[in-house]
Amino acid sequence: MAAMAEPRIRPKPSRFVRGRLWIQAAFLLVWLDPLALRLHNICGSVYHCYACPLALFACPVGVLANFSALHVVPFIAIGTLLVVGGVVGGFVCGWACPFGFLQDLVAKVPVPKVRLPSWTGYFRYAVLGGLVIVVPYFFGEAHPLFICRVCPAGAVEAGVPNLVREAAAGGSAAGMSALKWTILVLFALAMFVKFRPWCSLFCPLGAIFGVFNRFSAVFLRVSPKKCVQCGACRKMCPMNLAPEKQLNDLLCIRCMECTRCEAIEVKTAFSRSERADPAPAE
Amino acid sequence: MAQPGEARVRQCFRGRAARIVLAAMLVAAGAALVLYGVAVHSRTVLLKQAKPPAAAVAEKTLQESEPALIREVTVGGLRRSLSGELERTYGEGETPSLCPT
Repeated sequence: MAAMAEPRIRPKPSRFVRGRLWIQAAFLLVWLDPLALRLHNICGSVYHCYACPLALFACPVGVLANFSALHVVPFIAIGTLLVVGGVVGGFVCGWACPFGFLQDLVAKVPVPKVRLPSWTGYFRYAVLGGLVIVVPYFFGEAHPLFICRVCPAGAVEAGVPNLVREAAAGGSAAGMSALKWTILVLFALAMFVKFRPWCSLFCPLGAIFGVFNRFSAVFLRVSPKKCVQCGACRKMCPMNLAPEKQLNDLLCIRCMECTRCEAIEVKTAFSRSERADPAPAE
Repeated sequence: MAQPGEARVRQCFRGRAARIVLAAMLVAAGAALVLYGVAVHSRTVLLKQAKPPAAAVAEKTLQESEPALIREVTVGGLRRSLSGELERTYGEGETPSLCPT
């Protein structure tokens, strides 16, 4: 009987991947606008609520939804997403998004995690189409299902801080709607039992960057020579994907946990290799 | 007949070239949209009057660039009127009261 090839798994992730939380923290420092520049006329590329007292740029999803409500084409927001997505794709989600960082931190709490089938991630496109484009376009920004009114990032980053600030100042602290409170509580609980619940099930920005995973200049590649189909990468993937088959998938946040396997590497379109990705659209 | 090595090199070139071209097209299209939005795109915004305007006085309007529109929406400062025009939610000297969240 032929001996089965051994999987080539590194004992621990590379230093770069181990430092992901630090890189996310560094990005968070930038998004929190330490120089108080408040560049809200510039569209950002991460999920960070512009109603946050500390927000450097405008949230691209908020801009898309509000411009949809105004029936104005958001050229700058679309252009920004095309540029960032075209270069790095879903790396934004895994490495730069402050809301993803929050979920990553909470996921460190040692609680058994639920693993949902990866197809549930396609619900993000329903959120993108429904709550970001269609509802605002036809019903305006006052509709209770307008994305900003149900967004947990807005609740965490803007709603609660503003509530505390108003309460501290002796204001009325009328605060958020019951719907938003409910979403916030459910989301807070979900963060403990599911890895990145917002990103994997609902995030409209992740849905957009997921599309770019297939075309971006920086991408992941599996070497058919080195892959022994051991399935180890599936156990490493926090998004419940099968990286050897679904590399650069719509749902991949490019956390690079799967690169512990030597068969999976990060490449750029300019990398010299024996063979690049088989096709831009896998 | 092409050698396997040659075929691999050709496939590599095709895959790499396709990815470079696609990524470059996305970035170029995105940059063009951003430039258009920053430099060209603007919309007329109706300014809210502190007092009802006299019948003879025309409504005040302002041509706002897209970056200015983005800033306005981040503070809930714009809405679409029933007539389909963009209007400010706050008057001159006032601060916007609406918060999108």
